Amino acid sequence: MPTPLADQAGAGGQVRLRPPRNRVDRRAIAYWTSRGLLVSAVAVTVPAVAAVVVGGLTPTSGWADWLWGLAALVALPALAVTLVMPQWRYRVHRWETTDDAVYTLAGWLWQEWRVAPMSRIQTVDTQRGPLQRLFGLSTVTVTTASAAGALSIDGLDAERAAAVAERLTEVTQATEGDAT
Amino acid sequence: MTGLDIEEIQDTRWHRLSPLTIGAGAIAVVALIGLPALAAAVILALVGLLLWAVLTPLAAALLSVALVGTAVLRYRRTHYRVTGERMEMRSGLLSRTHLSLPRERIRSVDLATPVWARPLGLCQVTVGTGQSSHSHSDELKLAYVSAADGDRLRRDLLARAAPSPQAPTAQRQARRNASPVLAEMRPAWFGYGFAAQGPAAVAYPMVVGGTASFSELLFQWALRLYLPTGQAPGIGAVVAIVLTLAAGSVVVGAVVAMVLHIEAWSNYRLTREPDGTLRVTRGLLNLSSVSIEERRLRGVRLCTPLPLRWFGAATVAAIASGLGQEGGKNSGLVPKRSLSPDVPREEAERIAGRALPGAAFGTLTAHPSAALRRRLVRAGVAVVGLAGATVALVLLTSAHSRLPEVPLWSAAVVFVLSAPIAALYAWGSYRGLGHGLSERHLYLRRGMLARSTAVLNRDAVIGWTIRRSPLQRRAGLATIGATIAADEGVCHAVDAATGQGLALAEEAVPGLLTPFLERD
Repeated sequence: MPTPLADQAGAGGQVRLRPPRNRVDRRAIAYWTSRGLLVSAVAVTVPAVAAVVVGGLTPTSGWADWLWGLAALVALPALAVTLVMPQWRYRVHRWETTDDAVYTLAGWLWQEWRVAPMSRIQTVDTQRGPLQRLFGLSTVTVTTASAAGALSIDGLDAERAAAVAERLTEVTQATEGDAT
Repeated sequence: MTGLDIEEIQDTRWHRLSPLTIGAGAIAVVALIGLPALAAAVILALVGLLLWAVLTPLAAALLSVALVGTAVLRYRRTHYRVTGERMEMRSGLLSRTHLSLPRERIRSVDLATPVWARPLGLCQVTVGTGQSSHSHSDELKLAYVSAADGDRLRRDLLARAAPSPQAPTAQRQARRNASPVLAEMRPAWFGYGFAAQGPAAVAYPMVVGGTASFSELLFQWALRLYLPTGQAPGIGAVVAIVLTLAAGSVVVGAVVAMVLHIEAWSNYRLTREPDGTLRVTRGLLNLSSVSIEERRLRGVRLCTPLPLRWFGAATVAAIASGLGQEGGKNSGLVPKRSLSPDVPREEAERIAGRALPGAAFGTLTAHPSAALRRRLVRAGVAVVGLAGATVALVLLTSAHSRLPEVPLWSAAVVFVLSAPIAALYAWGSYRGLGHGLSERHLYLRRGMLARSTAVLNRDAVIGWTIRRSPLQRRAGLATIGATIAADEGVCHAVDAATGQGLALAEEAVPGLLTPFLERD
């Protein structure tokens, strides 16, 4: 469960933001893990390859050891993130659409709740990267007239995503409003 | 679109730019190429290089003919027209471009008159749709048309762009010719020019750069002034000269900034036009007119950046779509969003209240003490980090005998000097935080050096973002963002108490957040 957005400290602690109703697809964990592995692999490979090359060219200089150290320094946190992040994200990421609004929660360490009213929605897109395709997942992105107000639901089942996008498009077309 | 004016329908012919643009081009060519070439020819003739004395003006003449010819071609091949639905422009010498803007999309018609174009009665017209500030395809520039044509275009295009169907026709007719003046320049306001943001950002680096590059010369000159020749300067004289130079460049910088400020803001006038736009006209030599559609005005911003806050000054800026990003390449000396120069704070509040009716600046709700604690902790980390870096430097220099040794007490000096500054900064940032709500507006204040209060129309808020970092979760804080269709797209209440912030968001836009809230 994501921690409910509550105020334990202040006097106005009576209001709380409840998490959105729907979780994303379970396959998203595998997707985020493989994405983390890819990024980590690149981040570790660069200094490691450099270490091998430098070690081969100047075996006595000691630079290779520094580069191996750097690779290890990168590898440890990268591995930790790859192990922890997907589970954590899965527990946090949630989404919900009502007749009036779209509501999402995303992130893991830094968490962000976003709300946009249907009447202000300009476009509804679904995207599928190659990695997402591998897991049969899609991202639904909803934009408003604000340059910073886009909502995205990451890690939905592809068919579900298409259905959500279709429904959102229908509702926004039926809703009065110039979307500005 | 309500009733088309008959004269506008008929006016669908293609127009050309002002023929005077050719004249202006010719004058520029004569001034920049002809005269120097002639002077060079005379000098060469006097020196005795007769062949060169003939060739130089010949080459200059060829170049001038080519340039003037290009100007003529450009004039002949640039056309624009305004039809009932669109504004179109055809231009380009070799590759032709046809730019067409739907009139209902036109958000801004800005006029600029550079100083050289004034005697010729010309002005440049920039028509923008404000769709995206990054590409140029949404912008149509006519350089140059006659000032009368420019003003006519501004009135016609904006009148069409912003019809107010709700307003009764009689009322619109009555308002048609009246443009109430919301603010006008007062001579006393020029005093803030020495530190006004745009001019200061240009003037001081320029003067400091100039002083630095001529420092050797200036130094020698100063030495000769104070000391008899041949005498070696003492340390006191050197310090005195350096201080004098520094003070002198600050004074010169202030004068330059002041001059730029006066040039930019003389004849400043903020008016509400009958076509539903706010119009800022200003300029002493180079004139500028910027129109901001009130329908696109999401709010105003009261900016109180630091050096001038100490002198009680503030500026007003518009928060509207289509004004481009902050620091964009079109920002120039005075950003397009500016609604006022630096003025006394009460005046700025008054101007803001007139530009955005109902905006009033009372006391805002302060953020909880946990927000202050966060800022103090950050300041502490920065100070310790700085002192730590100094210690590392000391260790490094003592390990290498080749480097000049840095004494250990310098770390203590760094610590003692930076700690109060960091603490004051933290306190200032905390003091900068605040939020509030009035009948029609949402107030969000933040910032230490560039402190500003955003006043947003409550119905311009088109969504919320609520962000919490791990440390904010521990402290019971959240950063509440109101998304708007302008600028960067969001204004933040940073580090508000979570419950307080949510209550603010719920009240500001009724109904939007309510279904997702729980109460105890």
